[in-house]
Amino acid sequence: MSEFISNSLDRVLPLVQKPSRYTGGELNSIVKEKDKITSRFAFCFPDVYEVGMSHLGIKILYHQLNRRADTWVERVFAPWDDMEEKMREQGIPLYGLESRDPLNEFDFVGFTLQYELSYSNIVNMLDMANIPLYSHERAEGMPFVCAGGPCAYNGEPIADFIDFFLIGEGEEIWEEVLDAYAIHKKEGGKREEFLLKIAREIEGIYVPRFYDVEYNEDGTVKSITPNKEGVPEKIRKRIVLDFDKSYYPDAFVVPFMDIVHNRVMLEIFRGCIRGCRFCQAGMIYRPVRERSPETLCKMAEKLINSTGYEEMSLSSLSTSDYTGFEKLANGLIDMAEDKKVSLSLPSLRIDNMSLDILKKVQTVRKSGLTFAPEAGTQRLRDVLNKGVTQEDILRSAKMVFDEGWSNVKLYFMMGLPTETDKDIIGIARTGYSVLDCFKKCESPKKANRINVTVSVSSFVPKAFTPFQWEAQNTMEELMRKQQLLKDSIRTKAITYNYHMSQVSCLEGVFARGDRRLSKVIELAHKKGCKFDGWDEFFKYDAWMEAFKEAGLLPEFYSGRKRSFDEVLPWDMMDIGVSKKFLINECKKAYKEETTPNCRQQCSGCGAASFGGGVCHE
Amino acid sequence: MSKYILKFEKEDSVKFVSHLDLIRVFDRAMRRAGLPMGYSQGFNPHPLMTFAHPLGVGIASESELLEMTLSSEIPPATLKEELNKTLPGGFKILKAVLIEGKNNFSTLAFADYAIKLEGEFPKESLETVFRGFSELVVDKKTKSGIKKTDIKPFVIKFREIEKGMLNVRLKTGAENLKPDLLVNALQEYIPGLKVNRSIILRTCLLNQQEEPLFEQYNI
Repeated sequence: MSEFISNSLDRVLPLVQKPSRYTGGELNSIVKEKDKITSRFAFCFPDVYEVGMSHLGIKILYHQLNRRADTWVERVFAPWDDMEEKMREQGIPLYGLESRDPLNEFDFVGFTLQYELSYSNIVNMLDMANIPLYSHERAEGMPFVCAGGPCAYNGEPIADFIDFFLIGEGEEIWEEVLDAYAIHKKEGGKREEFLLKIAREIEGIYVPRFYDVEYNEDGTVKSITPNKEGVPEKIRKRIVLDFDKSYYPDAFVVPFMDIVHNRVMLEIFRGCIRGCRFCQAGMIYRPVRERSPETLCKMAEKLINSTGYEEMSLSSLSTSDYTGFEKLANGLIDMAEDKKVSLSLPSLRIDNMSLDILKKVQTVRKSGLTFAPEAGTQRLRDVLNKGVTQEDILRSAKMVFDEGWSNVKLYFMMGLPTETDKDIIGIARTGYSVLDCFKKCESPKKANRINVTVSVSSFVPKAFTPFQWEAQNTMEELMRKQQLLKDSIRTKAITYNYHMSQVSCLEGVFARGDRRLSKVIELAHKKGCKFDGWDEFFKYDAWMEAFKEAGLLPEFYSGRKRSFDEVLPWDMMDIGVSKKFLINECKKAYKEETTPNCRQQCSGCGAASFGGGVCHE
Repeated sequence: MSKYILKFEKEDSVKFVSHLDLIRVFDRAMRRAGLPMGYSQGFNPHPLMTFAHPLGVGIASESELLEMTLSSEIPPATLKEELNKTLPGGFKILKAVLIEGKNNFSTLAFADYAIKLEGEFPKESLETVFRGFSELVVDKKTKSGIKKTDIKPFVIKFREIEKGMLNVRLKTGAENLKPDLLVNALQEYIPGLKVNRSIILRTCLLNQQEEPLFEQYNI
């Protein structure tokens, strides 16, 4: 079959855009002899090559699991629509890039769930792979379809398609699953037996079919109960506790073509101490666990040598909070100079120390200063527990203006809980105050002109945050607020970008959806929905039709204010952070009370139960 | 700054790597090898590299030419050896020389291609049929848009060495004919020819005198 696919690709690739997306053969990609392999694993990123290859998780798991002699991990990305058309026309099934073998010959087909709008692509990829869509339709011999990543914490909308979810960080769980599979394959057993075994014995494995969900009259969830003995009532997420010693690749696959993030990435820590109430990542990745500057510098050196990348950057939720930042930055700056590589530093809190560092880093001149106040007034920022004050913003702005930099980007959200028009206008006021600060700047290095960009997106309440009970603003409400803000900005010196589309409405539904939504996703796919995260493909009307045909209302999931007593579709997940804490944080939000960060004072969120990280420093 | 000319091959396995990507491929290979690649001045420095002629996507080659400027001098043999250790599979430097003074590839005038066609063929040889055409008019992309052009004058040599295996010499450079356009034209005008797959290999770049370009650099 792989020969058929190769020959077909020779015919088809000259006719499509960016053929390098589909060839494989990149430096550091791994090809093995398939006869010696027990577990063939297709790691599927449900978006196009350029997006998927920029994702850090796939790099880590690909190289880590390929170290196993019994396993071969290959990469699969969603074909662009021109290629999909050709593939369907010529009968080319979805294949692994390294072997060009069809996906339905693999043992595991795993999807990473990075954002909800990728779900239709998952369905499309299974379709192109000739793998039955629904978990219960898969016969013996079919691959196990599994999923992990941030959306897996509430993967219920696609639960009917998934044989098992991996909750938490994949590094350790996968080794255990592959060990169990090797035994299972050797002894010969049925699919159900394997799923039972891993559900019972491996912490962090969620097998949807072993849980029955019952609904109340009003459509809310009544109960989520295991239907097999020995399967846990609650699935506890897995984390890598000693993050400094945790595996990181020595080499990354280097794409031929240009991709979104084409550089060495160093993951400096996981989790976040801040506890901003809208942020799901900050909650689900707790507790904070750091890598040491020494480890990171060693990693950087190995990666630059093995990839030849011209740029490196840092990856974390809040780089300014990294305790070893100064030491790390200086170490990397020296290495960058030595190896003729540029260092890209993400949005940092500006203070004297970081300013010194930023001055040494060339690339900052290009990108300027970025701030995420998220809300336009201190009152609303306190509701969000976003500890950025007006003084912080202006002090930092003054520092960078004195240096001669003139590009400032401010990020905000609209549709936040307790928001009033005063808060919306506050966004404009914040922009103006930064302009004002520039006018008052008297430094000899001051730039000629300033450009302030105000970027606003719409707030989507997420599971496992203190705002998971909130109602999302409707399109109409958001459009009104958008216009209000537009009318409040009356100078060309401020560029106003707003990204508010119907996509956010759909995102909101799936972020807090339940199992019944799988029908909607299937219908939407049949209507041609795919690449929903891309403006040119998103078909809002088709989605609304799908909801109607399935007999479900999107507003039920996103537009409804929920009570604290309601059973949530994700209540069977244990992420460490407790519901009690989230409820308390929600109440504090409405009282405009802030919560200190983890290093200032422990607020007992529950993450300490993992026994490590910042909680036990 | 030291200038080098490299002769390299781009195999079938990497024929879909585009010309623009090629610069990235070499730049990163140089960095991995720790070799002193030369960069332009200014805000957005780019590696100092020029290719004799872009190779079409989907076409492999046995003999491409590249001019590279290094910021310090190293023996050409070292450049070749070290790059061959770090280049991705499918790319190989065949020869490297150090050159003095200016260089330009404008002496380029023709390119040889070996074209293997798979499919259905007419009874007579393609060579006979081709010679029989007084003209071969197709839509060709020119500077002023797509025009109906007679491409026969762009084909200097056309030999069929065995059924479906063609060796052609095409005008290349300022006046240029892409081999896949020739294949499409053949399909359009030769009844009985149905091409399922074509495998194209560029075998040589030549100057106006139809001598291999690499000879002027003694490689």
